[in-house]
Amino acid sequence: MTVEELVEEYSNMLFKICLVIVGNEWDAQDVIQDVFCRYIERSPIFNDKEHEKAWLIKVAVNRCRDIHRFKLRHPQVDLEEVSAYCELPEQSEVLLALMKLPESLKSVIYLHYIEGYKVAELVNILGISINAVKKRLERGRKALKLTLSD
Amino acid sequence: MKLQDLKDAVNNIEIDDAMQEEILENVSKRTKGKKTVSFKTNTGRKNVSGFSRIAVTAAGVVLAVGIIGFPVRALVTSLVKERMEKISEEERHELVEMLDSQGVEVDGFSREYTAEEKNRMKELRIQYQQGVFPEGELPQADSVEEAETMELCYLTTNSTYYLPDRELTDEEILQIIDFQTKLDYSLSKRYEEEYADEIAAKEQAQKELVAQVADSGGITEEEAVTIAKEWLEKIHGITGDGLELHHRLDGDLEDNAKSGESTQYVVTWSGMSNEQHYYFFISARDGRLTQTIYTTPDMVRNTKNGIAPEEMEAQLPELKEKAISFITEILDEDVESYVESYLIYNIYDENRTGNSVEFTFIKESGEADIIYYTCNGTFTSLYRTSDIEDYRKGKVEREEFIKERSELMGETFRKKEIAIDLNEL
Repeated sequence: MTVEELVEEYSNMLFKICLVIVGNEWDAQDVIQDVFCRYIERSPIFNDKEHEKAWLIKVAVNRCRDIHRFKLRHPQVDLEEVSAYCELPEQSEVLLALMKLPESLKSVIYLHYIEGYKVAELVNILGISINAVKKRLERGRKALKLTLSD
Repeated sequence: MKLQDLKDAVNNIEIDDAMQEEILENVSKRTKGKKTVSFKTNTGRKNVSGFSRIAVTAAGVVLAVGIIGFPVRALVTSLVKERMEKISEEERHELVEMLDSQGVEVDGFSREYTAEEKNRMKELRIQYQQGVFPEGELPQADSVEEAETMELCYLTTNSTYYLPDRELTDEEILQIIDFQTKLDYSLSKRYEEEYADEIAAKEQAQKELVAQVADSGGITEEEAVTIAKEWLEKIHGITGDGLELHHRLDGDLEDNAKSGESTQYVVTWSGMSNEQHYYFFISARDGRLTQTIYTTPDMVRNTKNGIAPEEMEAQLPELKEKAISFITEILDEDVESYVESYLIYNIYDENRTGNSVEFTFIKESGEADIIYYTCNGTFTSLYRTSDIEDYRKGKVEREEFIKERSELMGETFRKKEIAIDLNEL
């Protein structure tokens, strides 16, 4: 896969995750660049596309976490910026609520409900215990008042 | 909020073309000449990367403890580790396959734990870490029909704990703890097996960082532990004997090559019986203590439960003396060398303050020492910064974030912040 193909295939997926976790476009872009560079430098070999995707997500989530901590910076979530991504005004509120969650909760909520990773898979991606994954899902759902049925 | 609404909102996020092009350009520049990647062949290897780093912010117990979050495994004692290593590979694989097949988000329980059981579970978790293990194993059932015939069991199909109608015995609670520890251990071993190359790459990166630190004249890990031990004794009057010691070099090759400022050794002593933790952050560059934190479960639980405001006011002169003593006797600094000094504490409502008081001492150069005490006079943390403005900016950002998060979580953010010039106290 060329660099162009890599960016074309995965940048949008990673942008969604990173924007939600770090809360701003600039840090999201930094993270994506770091992830792709690491991908190319390490030259990992994957079993399949799913393995590749999980690898990219894991590296991205960890890098987002690094940005949170090492730059001692926390997301200043701007409603106007968030609104730019939403077709409907009520979607801004939904997205803002997700982005305002503590990093530990929104990573779990996003990866489980949006990306569809199972609880056991999240243990490895996030490096936390299975109980921690379940508790964070519960807390995140409560905070968002998330109902699972339509 | 409906799940579909969440999905729809996220789906609307799209990276724009300009950013995509910029990413492509930057990645291409940075990786010029590097080979691209491929998928595994029959003889291929797996190689992934990306481990989280653990660092600590400056501002006091709540944030520090919330962010430290050492992985569960890091705080498992050697006794538990030894026990887990006796689990057969077959059993580990069975447990992992069971978890993979469950697809549930929460554990189910046939009834809630009683208050007494919760208290005993907390005590027994500590004892478990100290080597108090169950005699038997938690029984498992593979069907609801089977589970309903058993007094205590774990239903493997949907992760439900069937508890007896009576109080659980200590043995039964230990069986539950042991089982949950085995689940985590089995998942972690799978991770290690699947990402062996990744782990090796991380260890290699760590070796390179260690070498980089040595080449630039920095201190060794052994020296950092010695330095931290001296501070442990100086600040807390203990040697660390009887406590679990963990230490690691924390940093990034790229950051370290640039300035090395953020490369530090994290040295921790932990008391498993009382869950007290002593953290020391030692600069890898020059061995300076940059931060230290002391935590207990009570401190974490009671950050917003201090004392009545009038009681706090009465405590302040004594706390001020403690802080000044810390500056002069522990840090060996001349208190006159600080041009500005003040304290801050929070008020949560009419009847209570927060549990901690922050003392800031600033030099003309902008260097500062920030010390935290609980309202009853226990030292909790020290942060040493070369730039107080940088610290203040970070603090404002952190607090804005906490405020927003508190509102979202329905928790109390502070009502008022009280700041007092120490010269006026």
